Amino acid sequence: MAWEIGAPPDQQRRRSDRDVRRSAAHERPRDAYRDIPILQRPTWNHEVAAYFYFGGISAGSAVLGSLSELFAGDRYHTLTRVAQAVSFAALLPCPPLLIDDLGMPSRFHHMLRIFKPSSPMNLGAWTLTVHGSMVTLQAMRMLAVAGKLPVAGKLLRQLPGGALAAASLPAALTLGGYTGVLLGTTSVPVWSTSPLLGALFMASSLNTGTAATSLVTHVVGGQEAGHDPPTLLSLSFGSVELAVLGGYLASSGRAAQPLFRGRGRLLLAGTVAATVIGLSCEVAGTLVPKRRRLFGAIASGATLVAGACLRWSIVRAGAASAADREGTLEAMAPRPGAPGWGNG
Amino acid sequence: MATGRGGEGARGRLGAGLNRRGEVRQAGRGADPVSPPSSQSPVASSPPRPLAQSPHPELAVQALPRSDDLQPTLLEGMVIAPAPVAHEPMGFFTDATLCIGCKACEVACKQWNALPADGMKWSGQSYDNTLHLSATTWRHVSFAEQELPNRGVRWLFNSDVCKHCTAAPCQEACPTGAIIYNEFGNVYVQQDVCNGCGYCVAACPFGVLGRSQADGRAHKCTLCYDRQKDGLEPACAKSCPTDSIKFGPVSELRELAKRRVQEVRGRGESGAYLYGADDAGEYQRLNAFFLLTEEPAAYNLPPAPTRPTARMLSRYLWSAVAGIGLSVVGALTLVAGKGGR
Repeated sequence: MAWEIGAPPDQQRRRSDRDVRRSAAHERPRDAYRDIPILQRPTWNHEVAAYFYFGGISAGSAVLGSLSELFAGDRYHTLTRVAQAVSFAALLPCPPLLIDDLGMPSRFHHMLRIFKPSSPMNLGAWTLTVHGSMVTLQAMRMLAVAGKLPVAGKLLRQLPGGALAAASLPAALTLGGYTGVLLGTTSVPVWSTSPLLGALFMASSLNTGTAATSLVTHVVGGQEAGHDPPTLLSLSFGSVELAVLGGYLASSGRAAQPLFRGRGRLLLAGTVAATVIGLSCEVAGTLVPKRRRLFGAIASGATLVAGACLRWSIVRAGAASAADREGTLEAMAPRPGAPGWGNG
Repeated sequence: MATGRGGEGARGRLGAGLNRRGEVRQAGRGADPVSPPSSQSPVASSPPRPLAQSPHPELAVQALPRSDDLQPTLLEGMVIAPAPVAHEPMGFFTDATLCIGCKACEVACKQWNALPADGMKWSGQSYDNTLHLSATTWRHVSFAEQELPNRGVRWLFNSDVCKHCTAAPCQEACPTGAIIYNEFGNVYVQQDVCNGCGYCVAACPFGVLGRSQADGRAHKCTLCYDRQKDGLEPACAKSCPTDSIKFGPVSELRELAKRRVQEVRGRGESGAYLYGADDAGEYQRLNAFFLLTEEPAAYNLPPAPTRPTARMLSRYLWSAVAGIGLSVVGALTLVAGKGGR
């Protein structure tokens, strides 16, 4: 208050003008609806997270099986067969989970009444149909070759395995990533701000698919010593997944906050921790050949846990993100290419 | 202005279920060979208020079929009905400066559409216990109570509704094709197709669509499709005592709104603007737009809504980069592998 006494009158007025301006800015009313969300709470919950998880495993192991069939010939016979069997097994829970999530389960087939690529969910329904058919065909052919199929064995044995493997790759790869694209093509900030969610789910899909295959292989009979492909693949897929996760969180900015709040942060921490444990155990397995099977099994298990944590963490965060009004306003603030409407 | 509104779409029925946006929009006025010539003179049918008169007098006759009409009526169910003829896009212009917060629109909407009550809850949010649009609330009067430190409290009213976007994220997201543009250019959820997947709920940047717990399907404002077909204006617009909710052809409403915003500004409300009347880059204009005086957030509207599909390709691209890249890594590893079992 010193200026009121000592300062010359003109300076006094200038300061008081500024003061009035400041108080006018202060007078800007707070938003009356500051606690009311703008977006609706997404309807998706555990069924969708579980579908994303099993669909990812099925897609990842199908890719591994097809690549192994195409590029390794007979050298990794067990790997190819196990991967194809795992892919089929992981596919089985997918349709029930997907159908159960619908508000009108009896109408699940309505997704297949049109082909509409502008909707990732429609494309996904078609992808799951094609992938399911291919994986089932491969599994049946496998049984036919082993002579365990009572009917149509002769016909199935004549199918060229390589061509089937090549034909199954596009649908499997689409299934691995479309789930992330589906979430990314919404208005929910935590899902849609970063362009990397599809890539993240893709990496996780390949990682969990490889881990599931590897786990079953260890149980069935193990691998010979040396740097076998599953170990190297797990190392590269796992580190890429961690890197993409970092990129996703960084490019989401403030929109990623719901992932770090409440119980959700345990899932995110679980994702990172389990992935790191998986990578470390893979390395430990190569360093200590005697304990190779044990370390390999732990690594695969940890990777599978990480994949589940990731799916639930992301799906759960959608509800918190949609409820976060400030986050929504920030994601929908005027930006280049989208000036919006207002008087500002 | 209202020329040709009479009679043309009389044979059009939604039952075809195939009237997706392209077909509806491409069907030119009078291009439908099945349509009978208009029985009314276009000039004579021009009503003082949009659609005050029924454009489909034939419908009244259909309700009382004569005995010789029965045979063709039975056969009609077996042929595919032609898509409805495109109509001039119809919409809402909601003028917040005229809204008195009476909620007649909310009540009229609930009543006409037979929507259930949302339960007795005190929100503690001024005189607004509805709070937002939902599967069972298709009009919501926002009742914003603003505390101005030196001037006490003031109210901001606005009747919120589905924006009937001209490029609607819900319509683009819908995997079943349940969400369509009807012949009035309105975004409409076909309840006999919707399977309740919930994608539209997450896609809408305004939080309009909700999935009903009662029937598991997505619901929102139909812009009173049933009333429009019978030549009536929507229930909310009909009930609005101050004409804050105006219904009519969007082109006319837009001109009216632009004149109105000038008028309001001239009277000293310098912050008045139109929310959604024109394209705004990524987000195209809305067929239900608003005249507001405060920033959008004050009415709980997003300032610059996102259009999810505009970002879809980049997400697919990154996903493909990851998938193909990691597959190449996998293939190289397998080629280099020494062999196992």
